[in-house]
Amino acid sequence: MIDTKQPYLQVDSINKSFGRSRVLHDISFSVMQNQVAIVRGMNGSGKSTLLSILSTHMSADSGTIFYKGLNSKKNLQDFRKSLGVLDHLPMLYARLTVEENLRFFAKVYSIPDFGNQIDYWVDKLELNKHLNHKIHHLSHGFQKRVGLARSLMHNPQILLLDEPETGLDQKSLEIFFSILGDFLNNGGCAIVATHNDFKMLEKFSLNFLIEKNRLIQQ
Amino acid sequence: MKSLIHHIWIVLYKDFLLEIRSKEIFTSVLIFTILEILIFNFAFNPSPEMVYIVVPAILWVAITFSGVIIINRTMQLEMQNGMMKALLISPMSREAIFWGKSFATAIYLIAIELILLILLTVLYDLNSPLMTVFFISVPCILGFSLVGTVFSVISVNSRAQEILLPILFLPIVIPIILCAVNITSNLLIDLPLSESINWINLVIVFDLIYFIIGPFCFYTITSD
Repeated sequence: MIDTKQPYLQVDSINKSFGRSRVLHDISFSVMQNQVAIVRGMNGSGKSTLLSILSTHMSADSGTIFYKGLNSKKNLQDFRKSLGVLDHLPMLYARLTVEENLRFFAKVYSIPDFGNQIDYWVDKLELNKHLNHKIHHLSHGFQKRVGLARSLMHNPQILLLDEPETGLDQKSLEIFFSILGDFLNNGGCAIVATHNDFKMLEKFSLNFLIEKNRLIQQ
Repeated sequence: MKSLIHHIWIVLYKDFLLEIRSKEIFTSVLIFTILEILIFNFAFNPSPEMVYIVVPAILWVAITFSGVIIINRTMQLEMQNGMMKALLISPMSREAIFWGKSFATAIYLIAIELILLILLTVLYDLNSPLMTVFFISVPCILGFSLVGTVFSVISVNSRAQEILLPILFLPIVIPIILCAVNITSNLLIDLPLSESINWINLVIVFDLIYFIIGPFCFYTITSD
């Protein structure tokens, strides 16, 4: 049973520099179940770096990330299983088909009934017609939809989205917001780096701004 | 352990599926290697006495050059579309990624070596225990692939990746190539396997070292 008063994700005093250039300074925030933390900031302000640290791809110089109260570094495999990441890049093999990519990731995440999961997300994201198309034959918007299916297929509890709305048309945006709304309603939490206002998710939102390497709650 | 083997298999299977779909690596490297052999053949045109000295050198030069291309290309495919990041942030262990990539490279090279041995037999009318040469070469190729995978992760992120990999990798892999040439040479002139035992042991030691420290190096390089 999850303690709903305990933050799902708690970031405690994260610092990150590249050489002498400090990118993130003493970043702390927490996100509860059903919440989405929207992180805004100028280009190069450190939004993507923050998401890279949260996704465990990059390590912080100092600071700790707690997942359900546990240190994420000490529970790395569980933490990684709980993450769904949608990046600038689709994170899909360009030469494989949509189905082959989804099957690959289903195996990587050891999803037991991956056939059903793939069918579910393919239906939900309206990818049926493109199932046998190679990724490099798809438009950017469809690649993003497949990326979203990849990041949600293993039922993550935390979604990390880096400018997810980029390159999406109106219909894709509607699908995206509907899925994100369902995800939050079902107990997930999300951290989104964006320039968009995300008004459709206002009731779930915590708004942050990264300015001069610091995170400010708005 | 079961999960590790399963994940190695997933990486391996994915690499072969990618090759089946793209046909980017094996076919082109094979053609390149055959051309290499033919050029060596025209350049040396060895007498029957010289064949057993020249063939091991030709074989391992060809494998080395093809190996560099394969290692570079397989890692480049992994870097496209942020795929390496996707693997690194997945629950799959980095050992599984490293060993999966290394074994995939080794299997490509073993297949190429088999074809090369057949070609060299036809070209030079060899009358030697070729299957023994083939099987004894497997640990040499495995060591070569393990070292190559480590250095490919370093070079793939640099702008001069095509040239950086051989510059970094070849000096380290020279002991394996030296052993491989000597073992092949001994076997081609029909010396008993016991004559090569020291070289074989050296290769096994080298393989063990890189089998153990390879994942550690891979982990360190990919951690940031």
